[in-house]
Amino acid sequence: MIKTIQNKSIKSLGKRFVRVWADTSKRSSSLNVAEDIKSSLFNEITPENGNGAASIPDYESKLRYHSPIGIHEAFEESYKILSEDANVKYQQLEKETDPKKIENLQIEAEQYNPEVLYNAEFNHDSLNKTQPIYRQLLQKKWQDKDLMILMQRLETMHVIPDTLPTLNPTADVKIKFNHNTDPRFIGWIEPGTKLPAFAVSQPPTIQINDFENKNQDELYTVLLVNPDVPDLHANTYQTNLHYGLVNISLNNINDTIKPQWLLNNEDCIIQDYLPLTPFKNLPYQRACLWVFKQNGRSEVTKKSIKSRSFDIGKFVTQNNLNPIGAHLWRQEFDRSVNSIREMYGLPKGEVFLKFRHDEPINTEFLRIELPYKFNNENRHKYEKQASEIEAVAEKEHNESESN
Amino acid sequence: MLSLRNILEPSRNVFNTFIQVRGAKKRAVGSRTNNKDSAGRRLGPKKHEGNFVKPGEIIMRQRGTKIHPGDNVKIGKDHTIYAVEPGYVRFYYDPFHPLRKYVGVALTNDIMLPKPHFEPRLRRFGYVRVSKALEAKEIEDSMSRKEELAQPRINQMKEATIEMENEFKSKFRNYLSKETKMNEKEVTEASERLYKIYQLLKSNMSLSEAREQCTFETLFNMKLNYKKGEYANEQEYNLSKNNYIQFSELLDSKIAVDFEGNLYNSINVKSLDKLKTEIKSELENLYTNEILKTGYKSKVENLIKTPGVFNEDEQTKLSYKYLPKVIPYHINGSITKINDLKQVPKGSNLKQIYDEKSKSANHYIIKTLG
Amino acid sequence: MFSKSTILNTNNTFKVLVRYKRTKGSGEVNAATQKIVNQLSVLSASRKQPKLLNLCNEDLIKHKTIMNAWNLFKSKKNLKREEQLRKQYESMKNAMEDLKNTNKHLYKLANSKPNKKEVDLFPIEMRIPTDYPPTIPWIYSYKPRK
Repeated sequence: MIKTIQNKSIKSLGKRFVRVWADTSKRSSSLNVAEDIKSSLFNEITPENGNGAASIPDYESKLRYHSPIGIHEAFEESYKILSEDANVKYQQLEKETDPKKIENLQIEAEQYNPEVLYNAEFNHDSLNKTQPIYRQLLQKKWQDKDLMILMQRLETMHVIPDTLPTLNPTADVKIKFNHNTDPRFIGWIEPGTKLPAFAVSQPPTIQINDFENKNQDELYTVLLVNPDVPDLHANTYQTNLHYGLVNISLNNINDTIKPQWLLNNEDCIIQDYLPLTPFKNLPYQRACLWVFKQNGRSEVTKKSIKSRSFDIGKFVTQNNLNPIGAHLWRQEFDRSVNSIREMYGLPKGEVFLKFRHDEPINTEFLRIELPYKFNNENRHKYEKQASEIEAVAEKEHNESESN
Repeated sequence: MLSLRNILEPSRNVFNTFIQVRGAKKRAVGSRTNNKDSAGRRLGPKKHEGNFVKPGEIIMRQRGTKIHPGDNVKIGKDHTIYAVEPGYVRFYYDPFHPLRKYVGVALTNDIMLPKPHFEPRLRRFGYVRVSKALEAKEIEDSMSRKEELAQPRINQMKEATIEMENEFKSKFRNYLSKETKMNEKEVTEASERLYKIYQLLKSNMSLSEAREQCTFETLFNMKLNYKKGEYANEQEYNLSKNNYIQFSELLDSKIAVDFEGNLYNSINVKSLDKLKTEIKSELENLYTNEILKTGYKSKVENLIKTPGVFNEDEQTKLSYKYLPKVIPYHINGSITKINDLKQVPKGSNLKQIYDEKSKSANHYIIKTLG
Repeated sequence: MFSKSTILNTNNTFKVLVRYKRTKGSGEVNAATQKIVNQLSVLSASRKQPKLLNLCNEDLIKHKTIMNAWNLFKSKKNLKREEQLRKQYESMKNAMEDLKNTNKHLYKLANSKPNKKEVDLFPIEMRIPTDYPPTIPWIYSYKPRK
């Protein structure tokens, strides 16, 4: 009985109209859904006949589910209308030669395909990114949620402008730490999460998806900086480089930087991974991961990076890098910091008092040049403004006394 | 001419003859309502442009935000602005909010506020390093109340994980020493590797990925140890690296572990795919032909749990499909209709099922998997 | 009396339906029931909003597809209509251009407002045509604007 229902499949849709989306000779097979889903997508869902929704795993839940009345008939008609429209697009595609227009037409021809929509909605981890429609749908999904979260974290945690002036992200950057077995730290990390030192003890796996059609491999640079390292001489903070990769070649299918791969490609590493090891009683430190697109091969090697102390802005301008994405996580002192320091052969961590003193910044040792100092030109204008505002403040005093 | 403008402007008004008279709304002296004047609230700036302030010093008292808090200052609940960093008071405008007036504290005497929008912040560190080792240890070991209260639970969990780890490792060791010809050291190393792989499998990783990850971790740690100087020279480091790679490849080709921690003989990729399709077709065959027979359940269970074929997700999916709690009603013979409720045999599974077509509910005896 | 009531003659019996102040609607219930209804209407506020549709994955995609098809259908229809209007406008414009070239006097005459005394046209500015009749169907006292 079950077999007869499965064999029925798409036949119920009639013979007259053209089924472009069912044709697998010209199109990639990644644009189709799995067989069981297909059968319940193109047939009426009738659990009492053993033809329940394939996406519901449990038999009793299948029985309990009822489709809205008439949805299948309306779907069949809609499918006809949409696939006829897609057929026109495919006919145009055959004549087109301009690659830009071809990509647009490919998107337009598949954008209403229910199978494509199903994959993009429910199987988004395993989409074939060589297909323009999937790249488009993934980009939409990213812009709707993850991009907004990322920008909020970058701004509220002052990654911009503390590390680089600003960012207009064009690529989705995801990171995870594969060595973790604790369920709290498995999977992609949300930007800004506070992580313990043991959860970041080994280099991260980084996925970079910039939603572009990449016919050949393109080169990327990845930098992990920590702008919260204490600078005791100047009584301020300095930036350290904790991980640096250059000349990483990626394409639409291989878009993930796996640390395993780097074991055999040591020349890509310009700075070995060192996890952040925050000190007791200090505020949290930020691990800011920046991803850049290179204009050609970079000549930077391990030898050209002399110390951990690092000026990221200078590096970016010198190497003509184009920032396309970022990520961050935060770390505080925790009980696993000491063991991680030992693992990486670092000396014992320093300890600070809980409360701060009133000592001012020591400008003699300041590593950065402040661009907003007073000079003869701006001093006069500034003082005029300040006295104007002070007059307003004084007015508040006078009014309160006269009451 | 009579235009609106002429009427509205009193000087031009033709009929401008009335005079406004305002009566006193309050009595002049000795009134009950007019003697409520409070003392001055001493509002206004307490520090002026360029003055040096210490953290906590009040810069401005006000009603509402006549002046907004800028850099390195904070605002209290009555809108009092006070310094949080030592430095020099600055009154300024910010191009981001052109209508607001700000007061802030500049960390050095020679800088203006606000800083340009895209410049990094200038931050004062201000924490004191503890130089005495003994004192430092004491401070480092000190815990917050929350952390202290959580200690018994954390220790308990640690002990439990160590216990579980030892249990699994000893199980692996027994298996390896029985089934293979490894020496003592190799058995320990292999059991460590298998335990790590098992842990990674539990976190939804595939077997090949888990193996790769495990090899990487060991090699990465070796590299760190080499950097720390634990190997005499580079040759020794390379030798141990190659040894481990060889050892892991040999182990992987012979023994594998599944997500429940069971060891089995490794299956290579090609035969695995073949095995998968075979088992699936067999399951389908059983489902169509033998679902009503006794012994179906154990047969299917054994097939699904064939070591090393299906991962956790696949196993749950298959058991949902082939091991439903009740036999699907559309299969002939799975349910029998009861007309008289008194004649139901004892111990049978009775259920009311609603029929969409006849729009009525009837009693049925339901069969479960045997 | 006749002015305020109606008399129905059925089977030689007269029923006098007297018109007086309306106290009850057709669907009203007695006071006790009404009280319970009132109480329930306050208590179960969540029941008033429509139930959230719980669709399975396949049905969600089916629903999206139906919406896509409807939107596509509408946009095609609009495009067709816009195209038709554009063509109408073009042909009107062309005709006028043609007239302008052939006879300037006729062109001027065609573009001028008709003199109301001479030609008694239907005033199109009187009411915009709508799908449904207006509340005031005809304005008898209408006078064209001067």
